[in-house]
Amino acid sequence: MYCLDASFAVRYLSGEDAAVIRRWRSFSSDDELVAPSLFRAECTSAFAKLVHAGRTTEALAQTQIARMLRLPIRIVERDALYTRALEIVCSLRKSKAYDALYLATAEHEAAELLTVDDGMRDAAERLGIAVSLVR
Amino acid sequence: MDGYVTVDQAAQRLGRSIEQVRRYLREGRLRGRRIGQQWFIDEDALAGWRPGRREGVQRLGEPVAAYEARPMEAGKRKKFKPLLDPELMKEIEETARKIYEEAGEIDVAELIRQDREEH
Repeated sequence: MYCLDASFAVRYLSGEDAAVIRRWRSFSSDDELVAPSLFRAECTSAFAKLVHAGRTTEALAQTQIARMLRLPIRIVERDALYTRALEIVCSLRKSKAYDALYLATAEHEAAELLTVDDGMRDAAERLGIAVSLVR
Repeated sequence: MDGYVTVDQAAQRLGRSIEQVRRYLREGRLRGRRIGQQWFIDEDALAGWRPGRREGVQRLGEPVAAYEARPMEAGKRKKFKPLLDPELMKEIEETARKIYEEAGEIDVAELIRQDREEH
């Protein structure tokens, strides 16, 4: 089972990163993909920023967001994730809970976290959560 | 843990990425022990491991000679069935290419990080 960081999805939806494309293609029907509920909002927000910055068109962004919503990703929404995320934020001495919600989800689901973000990889490793930095 | 190496160490010795070593473990191409979230790989068996053939891949602890003598197992292996609809992947990748052509390299990690910091 894999927990997807929004960075891993947006990288696939907006670029030509061979390692990321290979990883997405390698998921088999035996695999399960999960993400916290903020995953979809973060992907949408990333595309909104790209449109706002003039780096892509609204039409292309709309197309990719519609496809993102068709990806077979199970959204995990549990009360326990939020309390655990707060513990993680405090233990990492951070002030934002967004990373921690992904970490809590990976931990709760015993899933390997897939990310393109070094900081997220480092945080997962500090917590003993299985993680892959896809590059 | 004596006699075992971590995924990082195994990746260095095999000249493979950490991700590849984890995939070998998941696919059973490398045998290891998982303790909590951490994989450990037998050091001695790692020394004789040979990548390459997908069929008849050597199992950890198996002598190289036995691995080489073992018949191909292609017929026994489960056929790969992608999780994602190939048509959906094709559409996503084609549009992603268009975005890349317009936008160039996007630092996605930074983009998401900024968003998280701004909230």
